[in-house]
Amino acid sequence: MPEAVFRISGCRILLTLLVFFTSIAVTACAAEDDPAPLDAATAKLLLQRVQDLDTEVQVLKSQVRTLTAGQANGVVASETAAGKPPVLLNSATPAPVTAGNPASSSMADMQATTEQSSAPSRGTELNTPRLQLRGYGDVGWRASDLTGSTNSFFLGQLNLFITSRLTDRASFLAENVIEADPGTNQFGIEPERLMLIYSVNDHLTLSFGRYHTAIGFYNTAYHHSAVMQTTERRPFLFEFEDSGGILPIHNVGVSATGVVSSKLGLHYVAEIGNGRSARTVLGDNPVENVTDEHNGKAFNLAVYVRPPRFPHLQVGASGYHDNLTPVVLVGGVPVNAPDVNEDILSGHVVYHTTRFELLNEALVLRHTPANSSRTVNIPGFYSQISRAFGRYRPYFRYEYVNVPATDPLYSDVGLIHGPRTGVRYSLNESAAFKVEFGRDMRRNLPSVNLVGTQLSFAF
Amino acid sequence: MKTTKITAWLVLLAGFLTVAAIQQAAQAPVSFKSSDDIGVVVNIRNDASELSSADLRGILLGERRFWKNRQPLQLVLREPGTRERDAVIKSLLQMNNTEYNEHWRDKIFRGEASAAPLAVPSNGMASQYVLDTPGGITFVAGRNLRPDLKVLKIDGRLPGESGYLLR
Repeated sequence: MPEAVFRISGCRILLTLLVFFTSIAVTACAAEDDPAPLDAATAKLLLQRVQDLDTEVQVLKSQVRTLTAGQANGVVASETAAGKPPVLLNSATPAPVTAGNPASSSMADMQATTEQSSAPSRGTELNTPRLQLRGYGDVGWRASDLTGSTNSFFLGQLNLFITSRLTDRASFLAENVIEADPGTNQFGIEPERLMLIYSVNDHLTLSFGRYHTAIGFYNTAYHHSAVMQTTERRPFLFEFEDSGGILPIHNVGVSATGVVSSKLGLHYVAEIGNGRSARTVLGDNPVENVTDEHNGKAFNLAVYVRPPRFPHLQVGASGYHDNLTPVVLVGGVPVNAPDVNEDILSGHVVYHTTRFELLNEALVLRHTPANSSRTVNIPGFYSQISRAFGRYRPYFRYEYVNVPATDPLYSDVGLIHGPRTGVRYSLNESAAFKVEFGRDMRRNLPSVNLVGTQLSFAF
Repeated sequence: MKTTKITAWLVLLAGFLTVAAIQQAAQAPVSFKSSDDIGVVVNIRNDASELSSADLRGILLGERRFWKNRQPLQLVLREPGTRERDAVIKSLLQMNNTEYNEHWRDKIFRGEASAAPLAVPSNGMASQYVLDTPGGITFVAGRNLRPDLKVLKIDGRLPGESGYLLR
């Protein structure tokens, strides 16, 4: 009897619980299903949304029409300088789903609605290697009051810049420059950078090939595109080797870069390569592309900080070491002179926004011949400031390089210092016109006044 | 009898708590879906559940290129002129599209990146890309959120919650 009572009570309790949970579930479902009353604000939002979607459909339709026309012609449009990815259209195969291929994207969307579950991996399609080609060029006019010089129009560099993303981690970069030699007036082509890049993680990216040495800021920020840099000319300190520059701007070897601390914004660059050969004749190309003049390798270690709280600020330092073997002519016969130990220490503080720019770099080259304990120091620096006012960006730079007459390598450079000032006018995102005035003051030589104009562009 | 009653009350209490917890958990997505907040969305298999705003800045600027599990990070954005893109780069980077494009142009030219983030014309495509790409990440407004994607907390807050960064 008591067992029967318990059973009945248990059944009642269980029934009560069942009714209770069912009522809660029904209430919850009802709460979810009951449409909220449509107020005026929501209706306005919905109307706006409908209009937005309608506009988007119109845009997509027009892009489909463009695609159809393009497919007929098999057009391959390359990426624009503003950073828009290329549109690859191929009449033989379906257009790939790419960022810059909105028409195919719209088709993908349409397909996605019907075959979401069975759709092949579009992410994989988007990751397919694509060669991207951009171009940079500049032309201009220069004059100076240097005795014997003539004012001349000039063709600057034609830079064909190629990148290709090979995999998630690997990519290729090449910067091929066609330019005329001021001495011979003949055109030549040179791969100024050619790198296979492999990213292991955020802390290690390896680059193999020819790269710009990470000495200071300017050399790895502006490379060979005149439109990217504010001024008409590079600072003399960072002039290219074949134009009389004294730094090892290029190097062939291996470079490792990465983040040391993302909280501090601390990065490192470690490089080992052939280094440069000693400059014997102005105009020689001292970059050791294929053969090193000795077994010793050049190495460079740089660190810089881009603090996350001050993302436009960069502070850095670097140390570079190499041995150079100068060649001297003895009775018309080239003979190797004693090796020269070269150390380059540099530091920079840069603040750079799209409107304001303050670049400060200083370095010292130290040359010690192997048969001597005497070290020659070559100090150099430049400071550059500019501020954009709409399309106009006036700028000013002061630069200084002092090569003592006793230097075993670059004594012909001597002391050069002076101001550069000018205005850059941005025609659009891809083109700029610059006018620049400068004065070079030199040791034991008359000062030289310079004027130059430049039209630089990307395509 | 007494034991059965106690058990029943305990079951009742547990039921209450479970229902309350489910309703509480369901509240954030429901409020996100009806809000204009922009969610940071990743592949459902991504083991990340939260990012700091500094991390997000690093991702947008291309400074951070890998997830913590070493999976390459694949950022996909909407095209310039869309709220999901413009509002994000404005609020996180204080940049407009011209400045953002210039940043990536310079970064590619320096060899620090092989390509700018993908820019796609629709939310559907951005979502589909993230769904197909284990390391994918994009920004989606609540009303366009797909249920098969994962929404990350930013600085400890989900979209729809007060103090959320991307509104």
